[in-house]
Amino acid sequence: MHHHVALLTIAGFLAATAAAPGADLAPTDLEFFETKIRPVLVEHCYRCHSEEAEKAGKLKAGLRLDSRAGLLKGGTSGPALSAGKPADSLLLKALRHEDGLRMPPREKLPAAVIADFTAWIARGAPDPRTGTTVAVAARDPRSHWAFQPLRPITPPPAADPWARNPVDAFILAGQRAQGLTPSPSADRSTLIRRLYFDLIGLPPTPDELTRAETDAAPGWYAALVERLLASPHHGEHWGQHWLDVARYADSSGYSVDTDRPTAYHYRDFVIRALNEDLPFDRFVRFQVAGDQLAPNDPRVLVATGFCTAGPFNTNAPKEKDRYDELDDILATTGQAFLGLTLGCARCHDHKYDPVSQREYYRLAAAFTSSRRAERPLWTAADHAAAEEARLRKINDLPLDADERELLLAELDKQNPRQVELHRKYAALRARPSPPTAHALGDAESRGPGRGFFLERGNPERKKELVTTGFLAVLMRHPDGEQHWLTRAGQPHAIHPRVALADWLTDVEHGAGFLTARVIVNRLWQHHLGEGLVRTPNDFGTQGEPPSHPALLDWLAGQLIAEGWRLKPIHRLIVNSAAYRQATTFDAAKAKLDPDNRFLWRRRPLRLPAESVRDAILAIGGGLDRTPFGPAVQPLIPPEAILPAKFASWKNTSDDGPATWRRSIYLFRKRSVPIPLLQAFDAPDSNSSAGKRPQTTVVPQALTLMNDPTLRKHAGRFADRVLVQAGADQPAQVRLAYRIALARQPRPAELAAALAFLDHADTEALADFCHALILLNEFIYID
Amino acid sequence: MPFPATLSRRALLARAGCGFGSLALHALLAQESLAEQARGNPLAPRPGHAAPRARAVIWLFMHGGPSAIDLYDPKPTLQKRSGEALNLGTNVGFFASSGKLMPSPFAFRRHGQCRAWVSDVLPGIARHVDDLAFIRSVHVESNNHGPALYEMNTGFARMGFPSTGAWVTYGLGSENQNLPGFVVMTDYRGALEGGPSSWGAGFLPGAYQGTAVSTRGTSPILHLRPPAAVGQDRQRAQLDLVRRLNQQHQELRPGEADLEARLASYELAYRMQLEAPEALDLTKETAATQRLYGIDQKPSEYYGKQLLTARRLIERGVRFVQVFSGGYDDTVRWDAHADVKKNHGDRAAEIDMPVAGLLTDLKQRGLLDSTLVIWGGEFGRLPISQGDRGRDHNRYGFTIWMAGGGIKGGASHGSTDELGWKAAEDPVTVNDIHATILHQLGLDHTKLTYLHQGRRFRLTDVAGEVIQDILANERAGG
Repeated sequence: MHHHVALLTIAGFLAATAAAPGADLAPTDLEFFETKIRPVLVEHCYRCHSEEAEKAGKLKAGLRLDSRAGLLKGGTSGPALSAGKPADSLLLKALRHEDGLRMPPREKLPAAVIADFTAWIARGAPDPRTGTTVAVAARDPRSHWAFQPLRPITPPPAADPWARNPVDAFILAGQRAQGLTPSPSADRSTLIRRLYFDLIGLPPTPDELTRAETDAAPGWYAALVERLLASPHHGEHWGQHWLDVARYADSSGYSVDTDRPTAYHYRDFVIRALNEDLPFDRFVRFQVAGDQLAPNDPRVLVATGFCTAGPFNTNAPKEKDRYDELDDILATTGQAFLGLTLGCARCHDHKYDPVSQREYYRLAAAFTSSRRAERPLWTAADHAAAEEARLRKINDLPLDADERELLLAELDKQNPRQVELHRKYAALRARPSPPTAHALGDAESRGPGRGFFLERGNPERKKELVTTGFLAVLMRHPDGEQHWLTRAGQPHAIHPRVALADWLTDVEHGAGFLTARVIVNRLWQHHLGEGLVRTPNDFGTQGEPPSHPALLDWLAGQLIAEGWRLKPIHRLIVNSAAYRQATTFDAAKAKLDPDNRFLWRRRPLRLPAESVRDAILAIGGGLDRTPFGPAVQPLIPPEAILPAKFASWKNTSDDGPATWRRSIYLFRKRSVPIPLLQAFDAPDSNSSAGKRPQTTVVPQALTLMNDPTLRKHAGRFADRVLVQAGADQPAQVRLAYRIALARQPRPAELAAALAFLDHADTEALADFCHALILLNEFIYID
Repeated sequence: MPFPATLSRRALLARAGCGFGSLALHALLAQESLAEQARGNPLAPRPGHAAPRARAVIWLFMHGGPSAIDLYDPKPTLQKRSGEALNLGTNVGFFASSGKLMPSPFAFRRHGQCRAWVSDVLPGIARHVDDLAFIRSVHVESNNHGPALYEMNTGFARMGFPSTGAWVTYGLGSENQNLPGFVVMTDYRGALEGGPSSWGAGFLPGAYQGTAVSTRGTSPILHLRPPAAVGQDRQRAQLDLVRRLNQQHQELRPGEADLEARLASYELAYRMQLEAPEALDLTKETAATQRLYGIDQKPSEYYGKQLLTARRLIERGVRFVQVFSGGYDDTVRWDAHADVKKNHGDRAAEIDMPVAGLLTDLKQRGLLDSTLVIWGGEFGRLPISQGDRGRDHNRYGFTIWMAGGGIKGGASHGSTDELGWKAAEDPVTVNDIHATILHQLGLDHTKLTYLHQGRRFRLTDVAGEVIQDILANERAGG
C-alpha cells in the first residue's frame, strides 16, 4: 500500500516524459518487440501494470510493464527481468506459472507467446520504450516491414558442412542466434516418400521406390526432385494449394447453389500453369485480366475464373448481392496476391493497415464494368475449323448438289423435299457452338473504371463516384496510379483491370515486391509445414512478422531474378539441408524453440485431405490418373446429403472406377461437401484459405474405419498384396508396408502383424491392409 | 476398456468428461487457452466467462418464415381495415409489396397467468405460455430465405460465418465426448435453403460444425457402423493392432500432440459407435412419453421423434441441438405465399404437440431450468395478402420465443406496429438474440472471439445487447 502511494506521486511526473523513439534498436529487434511483445503486454498486462492502472488505483504488486524502466525496476518481488537471462527473469516464471507465480492469473498464455518472451529476453530484451511512460499508439503502419521494398541480400557465409545451398546459410544463422543446431538428414526411404507427397501429392509406387532407392549416383536426390517437378501430377497437387487461396468451387453457393459445370477450365488453367512453370507474374496478370490481355487465347481467357470462383447469390440477386460479389473478388485478390485483408476496409478505414475505405472503393472500381459470364472458348481459327468440318460432313452426305443447296438454304415450308432434308439432317444444320467457361466478361475494353463510395458499405448509402486507384502505401511512382492507368498521355487507354494487374506485379514502382514475398512464403509453407510468415494471407500489421526476414527477401529476389518461375524456388527449398532434416526430437532444443520456428528439425506433416483420399486409391491400385476435364461427382451416401431435389447431387450410388479420379478433379459443390474431404479440413471455399486448420475429430476416424468405399479400396490393396506376395505371410506384410509406407517393417511391427494375421480368418489380410490406412504414419509424413 | 498407456492430461480429461462437468474439471481446463484446447480435444468441456444459467440449447427452427400475426400477435386493426389496399413501398415483400390488409384466418385466445394471446392452431404451446418469454420486435436484414437463414444462425447475411451452435461449442466444448457436441436435425422433406452453412463452423475449426443426425434410415450419423464385412469384434481387434503400431510410431516422435490426439480419436469413435445408437434409440422411451410428443399421430410423428431425440441428447450432455421444421418447397415449410390457413394449419399440426410435449417433459425431468429452448424462424410474414390467401416475407418485425435456461416465463418484450408489419417498441436484432443466448450459457458475446483474416470476429460482430427484460429475476442477484 505504501508502495502504491509513492509510485502514484512519481507517475504524475513521469507521465509528462515523451516516449523516445527506439532509434538505437536494430530493425529486426524493433519488429520483434512491436509484433510479439508489445501487443501481449498491452492486451494481457497493462490492465494491472501500467500508468493507467496506477492512476485508477489498480496497480498490482507495484509493477509497471509499460516501460523498459518499469520492467527493469520491477515491483514488490524484485526486477521483472534480467536482460539476456531468461532463466533469471521473474516475468518468465510468472508467464510459465512457475514458483507459485501465475500471470496472467486466469489463463496461461499460449506456449508460442511464452517462447517469444523467452527469445526476447535472451536477445537482451530490446525495448523501444525508453521513456518511463509510453503511449500505446502504434507506429506509422507505413513503416511496416511488408511495405518496404526488397532489400538486396547476400546469403550469410556458411562454413558449416551441413549446409547444401544458400537457404541453409540463413537457417544456420537463425539457429546460431538461438543457440540451436540443425538435425542430420533423414534416411533415403523417408526422403523419397517425403518428396513424392510434397511434390506430387501421391505415394511412390514400389517400382518408383526401387528406382530411387537403387540410384547409385551421388546426385540421386536432385535427380528425383527433377523427375517429380516435371511430373504432370505436380500441378495437380500444388494446384490444390492455389485453389484453396482462390476459394474455388464448382457451384455458386447460397440458397440455390447453382452448378457451374464450366468452372473447371479455371482449375485446369491453374494445373497447366504450374506444370509448365508459367512465370508467376503472368499467372497473376492472367487471373486478374487475362480476358483483356489475350482476348483471343482461350487458355488465357479462362484464367479470370479466379475472379468468378467465389460464392454468388443467384436467387433473385439484388444490388447488395452485386456488392457482396465485388467484395468477394477484392478480398480474395488482396489476400491471394498481396497478403492483405482489404475486405476490412469495406465499411470503414482499415483499423490496422494503411488501407482507407476510399482506396477499397477505388480498387473495387477496377472490377465494376466486369460481370461473370459464360465465355466462348474458340479462337477464330477454331470457329473456321468447326464450320469447315460441318461443311465437309454435309459434302460427304449421299446428296446431290441441289439437295445440298436445299439443306443449307433457309427453310421454305411449302417445299416438302426441303422440309424432309432439314428434319433428317437437323444436327448438321446447326452452326457449331463453342464450349464455354465460367469467367469474367466485360462490356468495355477500357475506361476509367468507376464505382460508388458506399458509406459504411451500405449500397443504399451511395456517396460520390470514384475512379480506379491503388494503395498509396504500395505506389512508388510520382504519377501515382496514372502510371499504370495511362498510356502515352492518354488517360483511360488501359482497361482498369489490366492496370491493376500491372501494379500488382510491378516490382519497381508497384506492389510486385510484396506479391513476390507472398508467393515464396506460400511455397515455403507447403514444403516446411509453416510459412516464414505464419499468416500467409495477412502480411499486414496484424499478421506475424517473418521468422527469417532476410531469407524471405532473398527468396523473393531469387524469384524475380529467375523470371518469376516457381520451379527454381521449389528446387532451392527442397534441395536444402534444412528441408532434408530428420524428424528426430530433442527435448533441449524443443525447450528453446518449441514451435520449431528456427527449423532445428523437420516436423511430421499431415497430408492434406485430397492426398489422404488419393493415397488410399493409389495403394489399392484404383486411382485413375487421367488429367483435366469436367469435374466428377463421387458417391456421397444419401444420408450425408440434404435431399437431392435441392442439392442436385447426381451420384448417390455409383462408386465405380469412373469416380476414382484424383481429388482435385472432384466436383466441389458448396452445399454438398464431400464428407471425407470435409472431415480432413478441406476448406469450405467461401473465402480465401491460405492455411488449413488441422483438426483431429471423430468423423475422420469414423470415415476411415467405416466408409464402405474406403473399405473397398483396402480390399483391393489386400488383393494386390496377395497376388504379388503369394501366401507367405511375412512377404505379404513386407509388401504391404512397402506399398503403404514406403519402408520395411521393423521386427516388432512384423511380429505384431503376423500375430494379427494368424489370429484371424480369410478377411484378415484386408483387415490388416485397412489397419495400415488407419496408422498415423500413413497420413503424417516424416 | 482398452486405452493407450500414455494418456495426455487433456485426453484423460476428455475421457473423464463423459458426465456433466465437475468444478474441478473446469478449474483444470481453465488453465488452457481455447486455441490450445482446439488442437488437443476441441470438444473438451470448459467454463465460460460467468456462471451459466443454461448448459444446453434446443433451438426449434421454423424454416420458411412463420407469421407472428397469425400465431402469437393478433392485430385487431387487420380486422377493422380488412380488404384495404395498401402499398408498402418498393422491395418490401420478396415477390410483391402491395396487397390488401388481411386479418388472420385463425381465432385467438388469451392463456395462462400472463394472459398471452395464442392462435387456436397452437393449443399445446398455449398451455405453456407462462414458461415462455415472447420477443415481439425481431427484425432482420434480408427478406430472402438463404441470406436470412445465415443471418439468424450466424449473425451475417452471407455465407461462410460460424453458426451459433459452432460458437457455443467452441466456447464451452461439450459434456459428452462420445456424442457430437452440436447436433442438427433437418426436415425429411428437404433441406433448408442455403444448405449446411446454417450450421457450419465457418472459419472456426471443423470440429465445431453441426453433425447432422437423421431419425430415419439406417445410419443416424454418417459411417457410424463398421463395414458389413468387418463387424464390431473384428474392428476391435483391428483397432488394437492400430493402437499398438501407432504407439510404437509415437514413442519415436515425442512432442507431437496431434499423433496422440489421433490415437484417442479412434477410441472416441469406437465408443460413439456403441453409445450413439443407444442415445438415438426411441424404443427406450415409454409409450406415454411417445404419446406426449405426438409420435403416435401422423402429422406430428416426425417432429415428435426429433424432439424426443433432442431431449435424449441434451440429457446425455450434448451442448446444442437445432431441429428444423420445414423442407424445401413453399408448401412444406412455413412459407405461406399461397394460403396462410392451409400452410400454417398444417405446420402447426406437425409441431404443436411435439413442442408442448418437449416443454412438459423437460420440466418434469428438471431439465428445463438448465435448457434454453428457442422457437422462431428466419423472418415473419406481411399483414397484406399475397394472392387471395397468402402472405409474403416480412423482415421488419416478427416474434420468437424463448423458454427455460433462466428465461422469465410469461415475459413479453417489444412490439410491432398496429398492422404487425414493423418493429415498433424495443426493436431486437439478431445480434441481440445471439448475445442473449450466449449470456444464458455464461458466455460474454464481446469476449467470445476468434482471430480470422487479421480480425477478432464475434458471433455478434460489433453489436448486440442482452435482452435483460426476459431474464428471470434471480439473475440480477448473481
